Amino acid sequence: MININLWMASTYLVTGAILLIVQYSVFQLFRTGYEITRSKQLRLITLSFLLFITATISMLSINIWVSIINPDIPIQELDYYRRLSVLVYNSLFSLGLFILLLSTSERLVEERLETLQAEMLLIPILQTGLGVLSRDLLDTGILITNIVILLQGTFLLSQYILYSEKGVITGKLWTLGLVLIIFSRGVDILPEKPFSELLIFLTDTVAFLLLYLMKKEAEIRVKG
Amino acid sequence: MKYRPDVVIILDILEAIGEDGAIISRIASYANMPIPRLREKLEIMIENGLIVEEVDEKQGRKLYKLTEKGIETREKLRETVFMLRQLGLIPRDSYKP
Repeated sequence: MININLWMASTYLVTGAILLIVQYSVFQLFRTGYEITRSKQLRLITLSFLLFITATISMLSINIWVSIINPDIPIQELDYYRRLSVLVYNSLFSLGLFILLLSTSERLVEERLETLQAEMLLIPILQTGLGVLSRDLLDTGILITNIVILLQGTFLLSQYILYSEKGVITGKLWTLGLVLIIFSRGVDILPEKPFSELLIFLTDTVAFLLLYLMKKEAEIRVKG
Repeated sequence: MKYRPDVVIILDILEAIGEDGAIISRIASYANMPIPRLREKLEIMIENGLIVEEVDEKQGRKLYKLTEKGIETREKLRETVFMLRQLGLIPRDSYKP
């Protein structure tokens, strides 16, 4: 069991490190753009990526805590904390996707941002309350967030198909990344749950890696 | 007028100015902006060190030129707009590369 714990922890660590690096790299690009233009849209996009990064750090922190800092934790508690990490991750990831989709609105107005800022205050309250959730509530929460992310991913995919420039190589890879996100959430909704929550983390990492490749293509095209 | 995101507007202005500089009417035509609104944007860009205003001594007109920072910014914004278009977060036809 200890070996499995260490193996899982190592996988989370390596995957999480890669994910953080690529997320931060893309975050930096949009943040720089926001600092220059003070665009409301870029402010929202930057905020969404900050949430993605926070989601990753949360997932990593909980899993490192249970796998390395507390290696003798009972199996049932281990399972509980793993699922808690998925719920926290999914919640933050879903909120990030929501804000990303909000940024596509052509009628971005101040009151939307104010409403969002008010809703953001709910997150620390939610996270504090999560520690006392029962297993059933955890599972329900994970199911809900998976459905939400599946729908958001589908909508984001439709945005890409309808509005993006065709003929861009990494754009097609990004489509694959979105499909992976949708797929992993769809699979996790199944009652049998054929794969572990690690699959969600891995597929999201692949998706963001493909987004990072798109950023690299942007750099190459611009420098020409 | 079709909606254009702020980031695209700023990039259009930087592209219009280009390496050789440009007068305000040319910038307004390229960036498809009314001159009063363009003037506001140009003043902000001058404050931020992206462009400088010079007087063309031969023709007595104000010429706007990119600074080093403006050139770097233009490159960064090109990458940003590319990403936004690929993600479908801004309309495909909102920016002419």
